[in-house]
Amino acid sequence: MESSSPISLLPSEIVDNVFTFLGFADVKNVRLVCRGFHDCAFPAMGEKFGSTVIDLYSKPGVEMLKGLMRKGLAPHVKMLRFGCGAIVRAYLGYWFEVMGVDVKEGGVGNLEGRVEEKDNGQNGDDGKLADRAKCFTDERIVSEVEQRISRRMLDQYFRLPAEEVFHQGVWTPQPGYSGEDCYPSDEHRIQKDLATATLASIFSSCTNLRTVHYCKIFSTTSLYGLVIDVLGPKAFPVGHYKFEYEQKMVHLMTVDIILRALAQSHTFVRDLRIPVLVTYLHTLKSLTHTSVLKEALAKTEHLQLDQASDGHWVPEPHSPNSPLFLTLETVPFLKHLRLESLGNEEQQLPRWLEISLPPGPPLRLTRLTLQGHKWGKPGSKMDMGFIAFLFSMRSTLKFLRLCKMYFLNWPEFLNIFPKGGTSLEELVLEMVDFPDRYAVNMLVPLKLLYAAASKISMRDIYLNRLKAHWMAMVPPGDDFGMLMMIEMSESIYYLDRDGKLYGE
Amino acid sequence: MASASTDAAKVIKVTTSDGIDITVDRQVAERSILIKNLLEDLGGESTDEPIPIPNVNEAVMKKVLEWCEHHKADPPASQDDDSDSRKKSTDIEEWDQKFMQVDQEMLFEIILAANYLDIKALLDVGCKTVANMIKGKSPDEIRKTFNIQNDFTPEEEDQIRRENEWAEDR
Repeated sequence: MESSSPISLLPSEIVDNVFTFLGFADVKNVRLVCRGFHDCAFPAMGEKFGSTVIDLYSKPGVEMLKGLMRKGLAPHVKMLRFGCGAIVRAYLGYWFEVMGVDVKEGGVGNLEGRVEEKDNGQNGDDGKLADRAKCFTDERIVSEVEQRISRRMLDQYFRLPAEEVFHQGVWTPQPGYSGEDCYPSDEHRIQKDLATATLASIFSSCTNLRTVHYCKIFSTTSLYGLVIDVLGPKAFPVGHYKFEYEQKMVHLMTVDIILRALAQSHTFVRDLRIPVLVTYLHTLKSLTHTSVLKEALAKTEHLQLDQASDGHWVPEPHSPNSPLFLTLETVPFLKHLRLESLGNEEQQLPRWLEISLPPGPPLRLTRLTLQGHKWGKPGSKMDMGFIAFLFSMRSTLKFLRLCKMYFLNWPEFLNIFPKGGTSLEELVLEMVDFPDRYAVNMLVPLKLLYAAASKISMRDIYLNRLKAHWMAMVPPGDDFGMLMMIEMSESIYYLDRDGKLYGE
Repeated sequence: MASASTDAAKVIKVTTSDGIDITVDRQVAERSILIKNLLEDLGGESTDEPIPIPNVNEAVMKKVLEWCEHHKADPPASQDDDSDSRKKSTDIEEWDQKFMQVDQEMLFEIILAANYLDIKALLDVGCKTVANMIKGKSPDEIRKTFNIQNDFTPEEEDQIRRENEWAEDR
């Protein structure tokens, strides 16, 4: 900085502080101003860095990460998010294929070019979506796309550089692997060890790293729901199945490398989000060896497990590893647990998933979020296992969120949380598909439900049904007044016992 | 301590770097954690003696005290969740915006003084003001705003551009 510029009065800590008030785009500009600014921008850059998804499958991604870390960014990085770009790219190609676009390298490149042209560098509103879609599709699809797919999701498909669409991965997955065998040759193992060592050294240099997330994987179901059924519901190609399977393995191997690197570097992240093969309540199974998994989870306080399996399409790949039990012994610091896409009975889960609580002291969770396909039928093993699991942590649990609990045995569930008997502060019930043939299971006496927690939120629940059935069950003379708070996406409604809704 | 802080009428004196004594309400001066701690260390009684503030000159001190006077009734900032909520917004309340309409040198002097005197809220307002001067500007416009020379070689600039491009906001 020149002596003639007054800003040079400020010591670098203050300039650092100024930059942390900026958004990512501004921080990037600041880095280009001068050397002084560039160096001062590291804390802000490190802070914003968490919004970048690092493609661990691509060489350029890993190289760039190494380079940035070398230049002093590492100590400022608190959060790292990883992903596997190949999957998005593959799906991109896949989507084009569904739509009858040539997916050869040149084809995708050209298409990307056209999309870019249309975009004109404007990060526009949803209106842009139509423009983009028009590049290669007909009106019917455009309107459906507009209705059904969020712009952000489309962005993910379109913003990928053409030259990376068919890049060579850092390591190569092979079909038919299980456990260690997912690296079938020496060459593969060398690739894996190299990637692990590189990542471990990066983790070690990130002395303030607290959070590692593996980005939510695309499951066939979500993709099917969002894209494919809009664009080609009748002609669903057959090659899909194998493709999905292979992509899943790429994901799991990426996670394997992350976990190995975490264990190798002795970096203890507090907040970890990873896909695993199967998760059910306190058991999780991964491609990564259980001992490595245990080490990586040793200091975790906040754990989110996304089930990589997509039961509708993909059979479980065999993994010789025994499942890891989440107990006070294996994850002593765990406070928040979030499980997505739990297995269900209809998927014929392997025997080891039969729920029985592991011996020893239970987890001390304060927050639990369960997002699954279906709970066990009332009285089934799964349902009972779930009730036992909740019961084991009822003295510490403050927040409980349940999603899609079609089969839950509500009277038993509510017995766990007798009025005044637990510390539960908030209960969130979400996505009950009223009217549904299982809906009858949701028709819990309101009074009981209300007693379970001091705050009850309902999301995406059909209000009419809820009112009609629940209101009828409120005993006369009961004086709950504002009985139920119902959160509907953005607005909050109060429901009183006459069944009237009050908006906030 | 409790009796001292309730005694709002009490005044103290500070001596600025250029040797000027300024008399100020104790409550106002105590927006500065530095002064507050000093006074507490002195036991609250022997406040007749002026407190030397060797890093801040009269003009800047007066400006800072003007801010403290306006904000003397503000609730003390909570130290807890400062990292997240505070940094999200660069909104500045109207009075503060006007207050910060000074030349750059004064602005930076105020920031330095707020930093030295440990007045977190004022430091934040100052930093936000500077951040707002940067927001939405190209590197070149930022250089012009602060009269900064570009000291990168074209190769370095290229390298940073590439790094920036890769660190995508997704």
